[in-house]
Amino acid sequence: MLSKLKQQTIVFLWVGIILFASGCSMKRPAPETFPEKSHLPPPKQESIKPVSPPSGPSQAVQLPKPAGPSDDAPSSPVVKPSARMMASANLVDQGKDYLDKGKPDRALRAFERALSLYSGDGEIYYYMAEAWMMKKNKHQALEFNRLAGMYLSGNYLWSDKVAEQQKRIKQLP
Amino acid sequence: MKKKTRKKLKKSVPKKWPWRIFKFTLTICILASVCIAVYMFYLFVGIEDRFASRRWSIPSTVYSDITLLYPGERINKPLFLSKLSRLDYRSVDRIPKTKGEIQIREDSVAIFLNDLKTSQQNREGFPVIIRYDNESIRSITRMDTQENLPLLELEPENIMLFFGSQREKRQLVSIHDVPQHLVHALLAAEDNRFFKHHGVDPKGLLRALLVNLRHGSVRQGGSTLTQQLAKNYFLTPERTLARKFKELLIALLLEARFQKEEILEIYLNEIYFGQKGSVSINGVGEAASFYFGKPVNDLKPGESAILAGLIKGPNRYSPYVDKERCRNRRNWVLEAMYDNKWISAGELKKYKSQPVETSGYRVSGKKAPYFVDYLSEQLTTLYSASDLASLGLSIYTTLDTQVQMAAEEALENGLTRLEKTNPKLHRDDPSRKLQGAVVVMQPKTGHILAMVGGRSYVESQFNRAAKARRQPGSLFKPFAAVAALDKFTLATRLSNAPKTYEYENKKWSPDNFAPSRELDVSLRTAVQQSYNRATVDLAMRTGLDHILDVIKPFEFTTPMKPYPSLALGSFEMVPLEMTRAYCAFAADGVLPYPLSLKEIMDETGALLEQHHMKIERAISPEKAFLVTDVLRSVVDGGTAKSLRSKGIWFPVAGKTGTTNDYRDAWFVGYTPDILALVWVGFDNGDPVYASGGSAALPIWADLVRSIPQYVSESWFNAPPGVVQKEICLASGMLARPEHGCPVTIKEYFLTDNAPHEVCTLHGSMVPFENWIRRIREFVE
Repeated sequence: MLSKLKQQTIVFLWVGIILFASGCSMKRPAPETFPEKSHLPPPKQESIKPVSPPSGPSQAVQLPKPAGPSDDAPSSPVVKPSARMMASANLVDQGKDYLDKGKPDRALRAFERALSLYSGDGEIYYYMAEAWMMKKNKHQALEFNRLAGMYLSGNYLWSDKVAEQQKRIKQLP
Repeated sequence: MKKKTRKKLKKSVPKKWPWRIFKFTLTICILASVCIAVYMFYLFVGIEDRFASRRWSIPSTVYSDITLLYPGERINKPLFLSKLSRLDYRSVDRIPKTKGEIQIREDSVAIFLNDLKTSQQNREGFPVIIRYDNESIRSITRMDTQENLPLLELEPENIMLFFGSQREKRQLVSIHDVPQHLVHALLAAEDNRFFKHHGVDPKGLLRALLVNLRHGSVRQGGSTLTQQLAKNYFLTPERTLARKFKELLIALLLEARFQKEEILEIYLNEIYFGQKGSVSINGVGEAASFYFGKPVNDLKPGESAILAGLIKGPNRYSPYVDKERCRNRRNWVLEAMYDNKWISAGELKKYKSQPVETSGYRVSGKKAPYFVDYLSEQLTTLYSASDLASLGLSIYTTLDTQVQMAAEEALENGLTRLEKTNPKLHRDDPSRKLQGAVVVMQPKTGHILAMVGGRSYVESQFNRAAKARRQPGSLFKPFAAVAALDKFTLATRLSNAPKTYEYENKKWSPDNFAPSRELDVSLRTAVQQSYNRATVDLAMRTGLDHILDVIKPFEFTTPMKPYPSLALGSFEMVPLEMTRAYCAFAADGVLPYPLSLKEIMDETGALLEQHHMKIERAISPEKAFLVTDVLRSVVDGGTAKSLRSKGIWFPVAGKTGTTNDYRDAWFVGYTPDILALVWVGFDNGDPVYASGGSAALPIWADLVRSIPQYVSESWFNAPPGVVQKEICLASGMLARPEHGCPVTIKEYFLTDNAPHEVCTLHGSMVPFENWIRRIREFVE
């Protein structure tokens, strides 16, 4: 009797190992009747639309993949420049010119307009932090630097620039 | 002796009397001269004082924000065209040739832009053609250079003026900006010897006297421009000899003190040109704008002649009153110009043949009155009321008049619709009518784009958007959810079963708005379906004090206490504060400062005040994203799903709110680009017999449909720190559909508290599963 049990256990183990080796990911056919769980609501009443990754919209924000298991992370959509983005980029260029000329107030106004058209451009936050630095407002500079860091974290070049900017902000009195 | 004396007397009397008379007269003359000199000195000091200080009280002007146009931008054509009309562009049926003209066609609009003067730029007007289809702008092309423009800025719109008691409207002009033909027209009409006399013109007086005697009536005035200026600027209008004498003295003093050009400039800015409602139009600058919709330097000779002709009787010769009489008067001025050889015979003929054209009479009421009241409160902390009425400041705001108009219209239509649907809501008394409020903000910048504080400003000036305190009801639930995310996840199961809570020796049993058979729901479902019982369960498990701590950064001014009903929005709040707080969900957890005032410039264009967007972190971007995602499911399948049937097809996050006995109906909805809040209710708390979804939501839908330029269809992306996992709906743990989890969904989690345990509810069907999983995890 014991040996029979042992044999069955070995068989189960082998089946388990085979299942494991084959990836265990084959979808198990759903049982015809689910085990009764009286305290659970009927599935249809839980009318949650399965959440889809934020892809699709043509003007989706270009964000890096979040840290975490790659399978779980919401995927970054491909960004197709839209009219709003292009108009926004034009204003960003204006703002950068003002920054170059040492006019942070004018630059901020241009960046605010750019932001109102397309708020997903991390560079805007970066340059706004620069403008606030020029105005010696450490707190606002840090806030915008933080947002720049978030929006540009997937971009190595920009990540370095944001980190370097943060250092400069912290040196402000 | 007597004889001698008599002789002496006889001799001396004729000698002494003339001498005495002479002495007396001389003394009188000297005294009179001294008196006049003293009096003139007194007048001179008065003139100096008057001119040393501000010459005129110029009302400060409040402007909307600049409007950005770009190819590809969606537009609401009727709203866009009405915007151009409010900017005083004159419609013509040919290609626009001068500034302020516009030609509207089915698929395009050609505009000769006005000048744009802001602290940012000083742009000369130029001709441009905007081609569009029914939905969006196809291209923007400069007509003079054929250059395609990526971006075009339309000048800000005049919203209101801060008038003083005099209610005078005036735009100051420099004599150097006044065209020569206007000066000539003015001189021809009023004082053609202006450059030849010294303030008083005896020849002119004599001529006028002769003309008047010949006609037996007053046909011609003998006053010079300087005398008119003295009369208008320093004296009262009564007709007495003393006042005339004073006028002469002041005229002489003015001529002695000022150059001719200076006197002319003061005159041109001072003179009265007519009436616009209760407001008087003063100075050629304002007159050129009022009658012809253009700056003074753009006037044509015929228009100059009209303005010059108006001075004699502004309301009698006004082109808005009688065009024919105005034309006759203009022609008389033109002939006088010809007589003075300031125009040729050919020009006279040409100008006389031109019709009298005006920009059209425009009634300028107070636009966006509730917004302006809100702004005024901030302005009065910077400037006194008298300064605002006299300093001629230019005040630039964040208001978008297209959004404001859309909000006003949507609210009025929505409230009327509700009254029609339910006659119980109708009130005859205007002060007791069903009311509403709308606030529209840009969530990232905090710019207030529109504010409607009530149904009719005429009937009630109480700004419900910025002043009312009303229970927000379920609008508060997302804030409880934010606090809960420190402990729980969107998949956490909550009890939706009836339960009685005891607090401060009082028993309270929350009930759901609509009956529900679901006794156990996820956090997401609790917010999505706005379940009260589940939300209170969440609040109690989260901790009421913790909720109060978490919502502190949202800067609500209402003092709140840790009552179980807190999570159901039982504490009254200001709609504007609630709007701002929701901005944090739409702006990566950043709470923007609600901005209405952008900058203030003085009349010379110097910048006095400048306000930029300022941000403060309220919650983490990860939590903001999770709440936004839950609020999107409210619109996709929750209490706001009716939005989809109202033409709102793009992604929106939203929340409905209804308070006890239907006293308040709320809806707040947002995209990454725009956020709007709508409140509907009675001031006295009467029921509106409708939920937020049926009373406020349709107003929101109407509003947002009307402003397609703010709809980008974009959506928020998950920030770093958010992961998506497939979970078992029943357990809220990692799903194992292959092992029996009946319904699985993908859910967002904070990386820190994402579930790691697999579903245990459905895990017992496969033997050794846990072993296998552990081996697999080990190998991985």
